[in-house]
Amino acid sequence: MKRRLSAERLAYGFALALAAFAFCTALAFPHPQGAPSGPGTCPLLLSATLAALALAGLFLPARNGASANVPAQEPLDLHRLLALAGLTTAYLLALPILGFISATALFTALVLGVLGFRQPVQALAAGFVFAFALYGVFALLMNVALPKGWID
Amino acid sequence: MVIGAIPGLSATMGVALLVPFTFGQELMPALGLLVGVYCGAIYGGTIPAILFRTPGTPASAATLLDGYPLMQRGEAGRALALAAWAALSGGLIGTLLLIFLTPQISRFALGFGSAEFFALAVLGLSLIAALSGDSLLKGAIATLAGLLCATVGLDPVSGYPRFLFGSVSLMEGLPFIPALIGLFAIAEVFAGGGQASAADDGRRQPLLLLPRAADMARCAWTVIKSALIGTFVGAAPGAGADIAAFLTYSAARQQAHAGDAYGAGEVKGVAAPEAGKTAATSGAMIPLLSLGIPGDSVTAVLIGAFVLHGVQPGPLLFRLHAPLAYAILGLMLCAHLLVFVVALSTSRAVLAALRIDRRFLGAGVLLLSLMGAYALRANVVDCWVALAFGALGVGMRRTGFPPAPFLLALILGNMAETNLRRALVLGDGGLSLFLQRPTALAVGLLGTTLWRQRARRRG
Repeated sequence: MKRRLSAERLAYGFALALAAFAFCTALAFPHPQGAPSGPGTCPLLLSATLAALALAGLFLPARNGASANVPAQEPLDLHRLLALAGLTTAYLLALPILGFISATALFTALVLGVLGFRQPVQALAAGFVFAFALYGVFALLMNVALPKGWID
Repeated sequence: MVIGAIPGLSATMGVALLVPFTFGQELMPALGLLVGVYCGAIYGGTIPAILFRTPGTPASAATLLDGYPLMQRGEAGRALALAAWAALSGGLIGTLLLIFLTPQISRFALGFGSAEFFALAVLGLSLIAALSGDSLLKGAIATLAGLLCATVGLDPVSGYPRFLFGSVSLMEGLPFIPALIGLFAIAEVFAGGGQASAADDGRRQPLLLLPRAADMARCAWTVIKSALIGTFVGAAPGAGADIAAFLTYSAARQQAHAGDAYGAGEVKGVAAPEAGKTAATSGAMIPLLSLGIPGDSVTAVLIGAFVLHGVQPGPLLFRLHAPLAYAILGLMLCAHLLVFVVALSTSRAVLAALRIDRRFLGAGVLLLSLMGAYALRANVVDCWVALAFGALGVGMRRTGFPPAPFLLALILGNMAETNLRRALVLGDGGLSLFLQRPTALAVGLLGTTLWRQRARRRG
């Protein structure tokens, strides 16, 4: 329960930080003279209200116990989450360099490894199947321009 | 249906891609193809939404709120069959309203100005209380965060760049579909969520999966209400199936009875958005056919198809080409019926997807989600947006912040701000315009009343 409490407080803190950042940025937006509202009006109002609610969440006690509003869940596998997020980041960075098919095949194989599939050759083969199938649908059928690499 | 089932490939894209194929066709076959794709794609997004928590179209995001929990309970077939039935019912009711009430509804839709659109946005946002789960505070924070994210991009009135941080790709605002894909699909894969249960406790599925009579009886009134709401929302130019789906879901949840388990697999939570969004497809045809004004992005493409075949939609269509106009309405009826038949007859094949190895399913969903985000504008920035919202989605789930109000606010934020500021300009800086527009006043008061009702029920 303590962990959930700190995660919630972190979330309220994130909301507060977002509001503060948006407020400070919106202060610099110009306000046309004579106009009832400008580009910064809505962001300022929204961020101020968001900050107020985030502060309320941080400092007001919950009504029915601190963890009443967080549904019971399986514990989060942080390693898996970080691995998948890291792989996805690497994939998006590698796309323009390796091209769509090779980057996608490699990405798929590695994701399968993270998800527990421990046969690398089959995983890579599956990756190429996925990549060619997606290439067929998106590039050939839908005419979506995909990043080119050494295969395509 | 296939187009709608692939995340990122929307009905608009499907119809737009097929318009050139209709060059050499006669008018009616061409319109039949396009209307069929429209209706099929709107339903098609429901399939991955229920099975994999990955909405194929934005309008299906509301369906997954109760459809996915049903799948987790081993009732995916039940959810799909009910969704198909609700979509058929919504489509039929919407089309019948289209046939008999087009002149009246089009007059109503034509009266929609800035004040009315802002009031509609307020009505939609007031229903976040119904989507907030146990914590109104968290729901409100999620809504405000969504509204704030909706201000990213060029200011709708002055064109001033807001929160771009040097990125040209964000000038049109945060791309909505990648955000949707990230919040639900990518977050689901990252969090390792949802036990994909064996398809309906392992029994062999019948060839034609029919909806249960008890479910239909339970949802009948909800479906009728949702179809009416959806038709009128769809008829308002610019408010499409996405808004209709969330509004009808929220409205149904707002009127939950004791024993309704919204958010945990309530059948009415599946039926309401399905009926609403399909009725909205008929509603969107009303301003198109009667006024020549598109009701949503798909009908904007359909206008091009009409003109391509020498037909000018508008006030004279029913007067000069009445048989043609009513033939189009007949096409819509047929399209809804055929989608229903195809949906039920392919349910067994669709459910077989649940038997796929979860590791391959996870990798496939992640890949398809990234591709869906990329396919919109062939821009890697959209994939980054999807990834960022995926991380946000995981965080929101773990800390109890509901993603549905955030998404609804992202959809409605731009509409709300644009129309509020226009209304302020038209009202010389004051709110007098709202007082002079009875429709806007009524819709706004309805929103406030619903909010207070819900808040009082919680207290």
